Amino acid sequence: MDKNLEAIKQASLEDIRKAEDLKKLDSARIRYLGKKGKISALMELLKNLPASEKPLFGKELNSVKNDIQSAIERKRKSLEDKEQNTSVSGFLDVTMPGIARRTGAVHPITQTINEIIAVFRRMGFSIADGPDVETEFNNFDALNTPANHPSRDIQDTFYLENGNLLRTQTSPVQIRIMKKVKPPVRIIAPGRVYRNDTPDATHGHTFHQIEGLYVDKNVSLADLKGVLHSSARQILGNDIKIRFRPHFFPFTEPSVEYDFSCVICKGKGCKVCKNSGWLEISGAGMVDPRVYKNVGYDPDEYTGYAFGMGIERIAMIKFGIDDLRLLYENDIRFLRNLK
Amino acid sequence: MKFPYSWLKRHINIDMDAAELSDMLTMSGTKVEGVSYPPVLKGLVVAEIIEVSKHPNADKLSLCRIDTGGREITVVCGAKNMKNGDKVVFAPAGTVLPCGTKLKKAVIRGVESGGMLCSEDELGLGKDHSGIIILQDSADTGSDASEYLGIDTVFELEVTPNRPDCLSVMGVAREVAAVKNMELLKQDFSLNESDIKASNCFSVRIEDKNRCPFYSARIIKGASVGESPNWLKNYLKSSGIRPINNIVDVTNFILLDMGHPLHAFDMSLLKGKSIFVRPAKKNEKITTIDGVERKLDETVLIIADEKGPVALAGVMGGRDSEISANTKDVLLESAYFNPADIRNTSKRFALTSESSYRFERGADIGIVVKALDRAAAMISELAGGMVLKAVLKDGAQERENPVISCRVEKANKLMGIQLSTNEICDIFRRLEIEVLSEDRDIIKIKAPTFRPDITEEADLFEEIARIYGYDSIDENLPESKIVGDGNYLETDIVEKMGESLRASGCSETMSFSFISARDLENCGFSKGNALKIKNPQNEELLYLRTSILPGMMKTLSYNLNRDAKNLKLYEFGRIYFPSRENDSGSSEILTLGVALTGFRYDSRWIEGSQNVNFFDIKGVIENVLDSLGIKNAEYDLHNSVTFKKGNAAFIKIAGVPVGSMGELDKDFCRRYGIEQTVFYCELDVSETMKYYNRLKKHIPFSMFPAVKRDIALILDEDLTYREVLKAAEKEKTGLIENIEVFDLYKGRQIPENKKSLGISVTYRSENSTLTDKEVDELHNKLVNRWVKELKCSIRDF
Ligand SMILES: [Zn+2]
Repeated sequence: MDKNLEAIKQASLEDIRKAEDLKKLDSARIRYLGKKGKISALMELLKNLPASEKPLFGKELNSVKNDIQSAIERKRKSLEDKEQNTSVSGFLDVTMPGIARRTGAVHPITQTINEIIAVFRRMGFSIADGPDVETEFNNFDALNTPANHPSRDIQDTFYLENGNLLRTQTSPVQIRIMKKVKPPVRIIAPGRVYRNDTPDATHGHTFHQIEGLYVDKNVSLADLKGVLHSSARQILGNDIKIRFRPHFFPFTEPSVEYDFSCVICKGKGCKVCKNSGWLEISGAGMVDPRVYKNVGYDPDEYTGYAFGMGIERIAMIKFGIDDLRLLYENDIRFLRNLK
Repeated sequence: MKFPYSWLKRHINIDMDAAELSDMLTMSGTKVEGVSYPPVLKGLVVAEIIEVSKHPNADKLSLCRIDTGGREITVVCGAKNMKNGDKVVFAPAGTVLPCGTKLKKAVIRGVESGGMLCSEDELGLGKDHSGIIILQDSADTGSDASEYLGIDTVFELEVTPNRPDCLSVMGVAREVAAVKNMELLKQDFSLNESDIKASNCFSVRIEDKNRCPFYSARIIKGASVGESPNWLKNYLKSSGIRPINNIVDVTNFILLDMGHPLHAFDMSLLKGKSIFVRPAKKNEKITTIDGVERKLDETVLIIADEKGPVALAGVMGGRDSEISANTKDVLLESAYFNPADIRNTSKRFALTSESSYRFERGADIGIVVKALDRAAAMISELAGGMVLKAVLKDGAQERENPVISCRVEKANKLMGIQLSTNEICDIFRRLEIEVLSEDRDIIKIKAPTFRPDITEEADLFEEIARIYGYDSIDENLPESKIVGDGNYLETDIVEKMGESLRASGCSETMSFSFISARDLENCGFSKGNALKIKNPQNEELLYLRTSILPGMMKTLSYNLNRDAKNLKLYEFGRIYFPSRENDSGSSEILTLGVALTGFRYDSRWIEGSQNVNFFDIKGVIENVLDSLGIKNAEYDLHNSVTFKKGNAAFIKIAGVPVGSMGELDKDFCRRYGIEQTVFYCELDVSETMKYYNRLKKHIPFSMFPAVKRDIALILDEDLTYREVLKAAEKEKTGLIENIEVFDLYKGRQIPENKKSLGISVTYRSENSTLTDKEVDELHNKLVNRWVKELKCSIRDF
């Protein structure tokens, strides 16, 4: 055989052998069999050969070309098999794990907030927002909690060196929105709140609340009961009952605390509800006329309700979490499990 | 507030079981926090000690010969507090103790013991295990001992700050009476005064009637201080107050029974013949009964004798005039102080007492003298002595509670109920609210002196609602209408970003808004640019975070330490900076942090065990921006202390920096105990959001086939891909549809400081099929431009 041809054959087979993927194999094919490839160049050469040499060289050239072609084909098949990974002895192990990417998890607090937001969004509430760092006026005074009022003791407050504080409740958003907008107002405001408490299984220095506020003509306590019961059913199921207990908040009058019937024992009494059949959720009430005066609403023309919802509390009930601290440890097992 | 059920029954004739009562109180606004049921104690016997002697074989034990009512038994006892003749609680062998143990006859160090003499601790009645219980002398030997132990159901209430009137047993009884429409039982007492007038030997004077509107006192001469009777001690103990002596115990009894704080002075220890209620003078001092010396000034209201301070008014008495075993003559004080003054003193000295707790919430000025008289009568009954004639007083015992109008229609509308004027008046009557006049729609009332919280119409609405019962109020479903703009844009954008992140495999975390000074330092942030907490619980809560990064590092470290080595995490949260623009003094920026570490793929068996790198985090962020329709982000090399040098980038949108990302610096990671390589990105969400592209637009695409040409360029190593694309953009033929990089290679066959970039160019026309010749021309032109402008060469295979 022609030495040159032999060299090309060996080089090509080596290149084909080395090709580790289809792309490299294809460039090898182009290099040898392509229009400007080395074999094609020899084909051109063949045309100009004397008639005596043509048959032999032509035959050899064709056989080399065929060899290269079939080597490429074999390699292609093997590479394709490898790509589909059925090459292992041809047996398809259908029990091997699939290769889809594992999607991430939503934090249980976000899940709870999103669900509650969606409920109130459907009921025609808009969303409002306020800063975590608040003025003493918005967090206390405007909410009818003057400096010397004992109810400031209930909430241990983080103060900042600039004279402001970390809000102890989402209620200052009420003040911000009412100062900005004339009635009717119907908003929810989710956010972080802070209490200078020592953390334990049920208390943290940081937690989340959703504030709700509806001020209009003729809004009543019966409306408040209805909206809270309806949201409870949408969040925790149709058999949830709700009860109001009289309570005290400086910025609502009447004030209530509201409980959901225990989702664990269905109201029969268990450890979680301390045998009462009820789970404490949060506070609510009719906006105190003294607050309207602070924001320039006419208390004779408008009435309204406000409520808070403790997100951690609801998340703990929803997911059966018994220690609040789990929510901020961010253990990936915890997060993936509640995905 | 704690009290035993039997005490309540002294005030009202009820027979509800404890659960029913507790539900009733909870639903009318005085929440019952807990009910402790008494231990079941059967078989305990009152025994009299005949003789105490030493145990023959043990120094620490005694032998007690006791009479259990006709039968003598010997008991081995470890206590030391008994003597011959004491009445004690005997548990014979066979008795089951509250802890479940059944007593057996036992031989202790060679002596047989017929049972046990009990301490409070062993009977589950208290925590005192310092000695055995000694009963009153009058206890009947041989009778059931539980009769004398004050065993009772105890209620614990949560009283809201607006209801000081419920901080007494009588107040709770008043609530029960109002709800059940019953009458309170009268608390009769008789006070025998001597003929000697108190005013002959003593006087009281208020120097500031704003801070103390009314002060009264009585003098009891010749009392003998001693232990209180068992019933009184048991009441106090059940209510969480330690019995001290009969005089002090009476003041505490009145405090709990009527809600009015009193104070008793040893008269012989007061200097002069007068008491003054006055502001303290600068540099005056007092040592209170807790033994602490306190420096005073004009802001503190005190009780003083002629020499100086003897009590912090309404908060705590002084040690030097305290009742002691030697006290004979008692000056008993009953007063009404301005709540703000008491609160001021209490806050000032961080000193809260049962007394200050009630005064600062508002005491009942109407019962000041009644409480004084009742206490004086009780003291003379329990401690003997003579109560001098008449009350010493200054100021006026009155408070004009405002007249409030209650509109019946407004009340009904606000609550969504239908009550008649009569029904509402009836509720007021039950609450001892005086109805001054009523016409069809307006009821004029005056609240009783024990209800300082009722000052406006809204307060009356609450009274109506809670007595009527919240359970009886109907529910209205909300009217379905949107009020306001109904816009949830920010919520929706964050949710879109979250979806994209989760699709990239990242899980959401949530860390605190606080960071430490060390965190600030680690990240190279200045303390002056962070908001500082004035009263943090600990060092970790000293600053408000100025980045998500420290929290993320703690989360990574927590999980890496628990063998979760492959993590993809994200957190949305606010970061905080001082700002003068906002009334809150802070600027709060919604920020996203993303961290990747460990393996790239979940399915390593097929994709290989490759670690994540810079382009993984970039890909995650590109996806996030893509989910918001943001196509024009740019990336430039970036250096900061937290990132490894030369391995991080700025992210800019429309020329505005919105974040940074890259490989975290090794030393930085080590400060959080992390050895693994971590890639991190932080994005200003508030800013990024501004570029949200809500409107997506259809772009028509060509019907003709595309032609691809591949080429490998050998470029300077630091020449960016962006330059390659920019040069290509200058080919304004409109026929380059797409440029894609398919290979980046450095190493053998490539000169040093150079790199090979494999690029695939797609050509397509909107109006025709491109011929090979046309494409060859286009491609040659493009390649020539690259060679010329980028000073690159073409890699030959
Ligand atoms: Zn339950």
